[in-house]
Amino acid sequence: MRALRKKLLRDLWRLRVPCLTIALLVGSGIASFVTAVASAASMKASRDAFYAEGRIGDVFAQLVRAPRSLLERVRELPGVAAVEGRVIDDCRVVVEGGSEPVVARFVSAPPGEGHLDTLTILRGRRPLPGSPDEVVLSEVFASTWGLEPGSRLGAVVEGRALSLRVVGTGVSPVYVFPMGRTGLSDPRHFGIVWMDDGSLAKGAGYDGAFDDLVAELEPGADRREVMRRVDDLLEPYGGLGAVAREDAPSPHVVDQKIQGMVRLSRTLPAIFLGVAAFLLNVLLVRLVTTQREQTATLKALGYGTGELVMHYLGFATAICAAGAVLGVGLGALGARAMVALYARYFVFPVFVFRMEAWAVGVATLLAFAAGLGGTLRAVLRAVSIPAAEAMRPPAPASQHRTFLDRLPVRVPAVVRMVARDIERRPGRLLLSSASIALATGIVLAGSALGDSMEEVLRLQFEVSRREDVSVTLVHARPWRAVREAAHLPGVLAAEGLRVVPVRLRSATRERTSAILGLPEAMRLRHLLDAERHEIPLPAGLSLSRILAERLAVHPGDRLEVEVLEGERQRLEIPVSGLVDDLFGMSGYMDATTVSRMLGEAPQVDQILVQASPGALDVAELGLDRLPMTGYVSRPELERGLLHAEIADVFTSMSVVLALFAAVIAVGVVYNNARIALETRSRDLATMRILGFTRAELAAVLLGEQSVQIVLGVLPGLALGRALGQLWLSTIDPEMLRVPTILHPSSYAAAACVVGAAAVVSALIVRRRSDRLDLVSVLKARD
Amino acid sequence: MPDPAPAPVIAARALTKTYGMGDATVSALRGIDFDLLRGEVVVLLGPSGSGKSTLLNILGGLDVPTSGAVSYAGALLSPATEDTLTRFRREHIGFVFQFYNLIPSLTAAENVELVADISRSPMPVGTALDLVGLGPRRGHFPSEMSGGEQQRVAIARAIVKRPEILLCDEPTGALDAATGRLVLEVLERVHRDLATTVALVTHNAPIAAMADRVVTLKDGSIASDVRNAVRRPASEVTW
Repeated sequence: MRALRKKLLRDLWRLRVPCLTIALLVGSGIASFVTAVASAASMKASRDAFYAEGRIGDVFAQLVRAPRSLLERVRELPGVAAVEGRVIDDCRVVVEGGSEPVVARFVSAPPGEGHLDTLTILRGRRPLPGSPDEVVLSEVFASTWGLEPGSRLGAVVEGRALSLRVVGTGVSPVYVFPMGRTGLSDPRHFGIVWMDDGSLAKGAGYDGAFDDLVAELEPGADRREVMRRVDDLLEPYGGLGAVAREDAPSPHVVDQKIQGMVRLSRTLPAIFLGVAAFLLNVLLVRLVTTQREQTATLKALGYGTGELVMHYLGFATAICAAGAVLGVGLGALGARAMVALYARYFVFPVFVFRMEAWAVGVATLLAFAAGLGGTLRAVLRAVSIPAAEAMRPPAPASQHRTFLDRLPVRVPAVVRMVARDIERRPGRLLLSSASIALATGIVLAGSALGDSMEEVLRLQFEVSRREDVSVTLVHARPWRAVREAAHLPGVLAAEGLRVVPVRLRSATRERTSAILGLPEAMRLRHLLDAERHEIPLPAGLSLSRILAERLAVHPGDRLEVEVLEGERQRLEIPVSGLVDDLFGMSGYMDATTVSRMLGEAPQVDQILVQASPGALDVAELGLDRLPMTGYVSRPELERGLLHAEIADVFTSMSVVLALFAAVIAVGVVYNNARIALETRSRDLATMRILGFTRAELAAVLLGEQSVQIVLGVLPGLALGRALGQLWLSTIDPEMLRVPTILHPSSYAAAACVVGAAAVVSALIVRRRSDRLDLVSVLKARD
Repeated sequence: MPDPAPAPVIAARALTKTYGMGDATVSALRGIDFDLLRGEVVVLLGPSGSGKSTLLNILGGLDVPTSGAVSYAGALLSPATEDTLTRFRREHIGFVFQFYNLIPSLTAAENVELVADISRSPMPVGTALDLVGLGPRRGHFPSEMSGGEQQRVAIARAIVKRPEILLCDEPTGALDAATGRLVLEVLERVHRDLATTVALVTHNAPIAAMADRVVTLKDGSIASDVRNAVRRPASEVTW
């Protein structure tokens, strides 16, 4: 068997380049699998460890204000193991050197460890009890602003300016991914500030009271029932509805990320391993065909069929083993890179790296499954031919006429040659084209993510939101606040929004949301229809399309609207229309109707302002000083931030996907062209002798490859769009709806990436065809 | 006054060809002078390894000599670029091989057409096939034809461009005697009807009877160069 092993090694060496390209494909598949699985496992392990250690809590509830004595009643509810109340207040903060509006969520932190959703200190220390100026900042916010223990920070809490001292940075389980109002990581404009609970309660006017509740449930408790009872208890205190842990913003995003990676671990590797299996099949079929007589000789010499099967499978096994080693190595590096990238947005006290043995085992099994799946049949068929038959050359393949022969025009013989070879192996052409289509699709899907997100930004910030500055008020104010704003220097126009927190109930479902009261003839906000065209505000109550879907209601159906503030009315309102907004889920109504519905004088929670040209700073300064101004934000800055984040994530992703696609395209084109060269070397050499030039020969050799590329790229573009749509559909639609957009330049780029990879591979093979040994090829009988 | 000797269409001088390096060097040709005269039929005879195929390949621009010179119609072919040799083969040489070397995915007519497509003034494909007696088989693929038929298609393919020179390397080597004789008759007819110069390599001595001249090679050198007093028709050649 040693001699057979030597033969295997020499065959591998002789075919090293095609073997290498296939090993790279296997490696890419395994790497993408290991990266996705290890990233998901790392994130999950980090999450689970931190949630357990930091006692994240099972149920959360926000309310307006309740006495601390209420906590005891919540604790007595069946199924509740522990409960804590805290004070949360969104306030403006002023960072030295920053001119942009920054909002911080102040969260009370009780002294000591072991509390629910406990604060873990990363740098520095906890705020000391009774030290109202000491704060701990969320890590990403602090590092974004260059703040560290010892830095100072200004804040406006309940209208009072405070000077705060940073004593540490930290994180609590429910703020692993602190989300600004945009629903994305926004550490430049949003951060978490923990303060000693007594000091914050006193400063915010919540002495002996709380506005946020965290509850831990007993194992096996009926969570839905607990949430219902918590809601009942909190209702008189302005409860906004209990939320289960997985629906809380940060845990929801963390879970989504993990699920996204798990999904990715199923699609991308399947593509690579499928293409690798196909190419291995092509290579092995060619190898066993050319070695037909050798196989017969080995059989005649006494080797058994089993030994020969193992010998040829060894070929596939060696390639897949190399791919598996490469893939596991690259995957480990990729996973580390992913974990490092995620660690910039998701803050766990310890972001553990976990690459479990089972993942490596499964990856290796997948590699071998691809290898054996692609080759076993071909090998079995080849070695089962009786030795005497295999000693003779195989019967010539049957030839037949093609559709070209039925054309009324004369087709050159070389074109007919290519066409017949293609027609003789339609399966190979189909699979090659399918592989090219996948490669094109992968590149385009990467672009779809970037293009579509850019479109979301365009729609949100150019079509939907037209204001230069928006002012969020601490509490609702009478509508005259809009007129006050409109008269400020630098302000060209101002409009107001009423934001009413509500719980919406249909016959079977309910959702907590908000109804936006919009002024009639509004100019600074625009609603969109399904085609993303502006529409006027419909009369009555309109819902975000996704909200209507979640509530299973259609226009004309009635909804119970429970107002979660003020008089807490319960109203029955018909749904009059649907709105295709992009972010979040809301109801929309005319502001006058809202005030009539609530039985109140017209009020406003948010003021939208259009500034005079060049007077944005002046306008912002004035708005900043208006009574009850919570925070002032510029959509333009939000857009810049989102753009940077999208560019950060999607650009690197596009590059990786383009590299993956190039590996596929090179693998397919190089291998097919190389095998075509080997299969046809005799024909090609004959043609050279007959007087064909090298260029004419290359046209014949690469003709079939061109056909498979053309046939692959076009459906690949359609596939890319579909794949992009599939990947975009993994974004939680309740947070963000992304229309699938692809610019013409992205289609061109995808075709170019695959085309360029194919051309390079073809040129490499052409160099080999240029060096055909004419004399020796003719000496051999085919 | 005797007829002036025909001009050589291809002339080779002091040709050597060595393969390998150092101790492993093998000399296939050892300083050969050879003229292929216009309009003649030459048979190159010799045992395996005598250098006859190497000489034929160099004359046809398929291979280049290690040293020495080859000229075509007075113009030096060596040293020549790959492109010059390709053009030389395309325009002036017709090749016939031992194993036919037809393109399996093309029919008989299309195999001939393959060369007609790249020639300046080819004869009609049908005419070429008629010349080798295969007009009725024009639509058949190589796999549907016998060895002799395939070799005749190869000859039709070689002559469709009206080459001045037909170089045949063991054209009957893979055929039985009767079929081989048929192929030789076709070559004879091509020579007669088209006035093509023919050089034929074989190790089969009886074939020499149909030649104007018989050149015998041995160990890379010309052992003898004999003009036949009488040329026998191919139909009378037996082996």
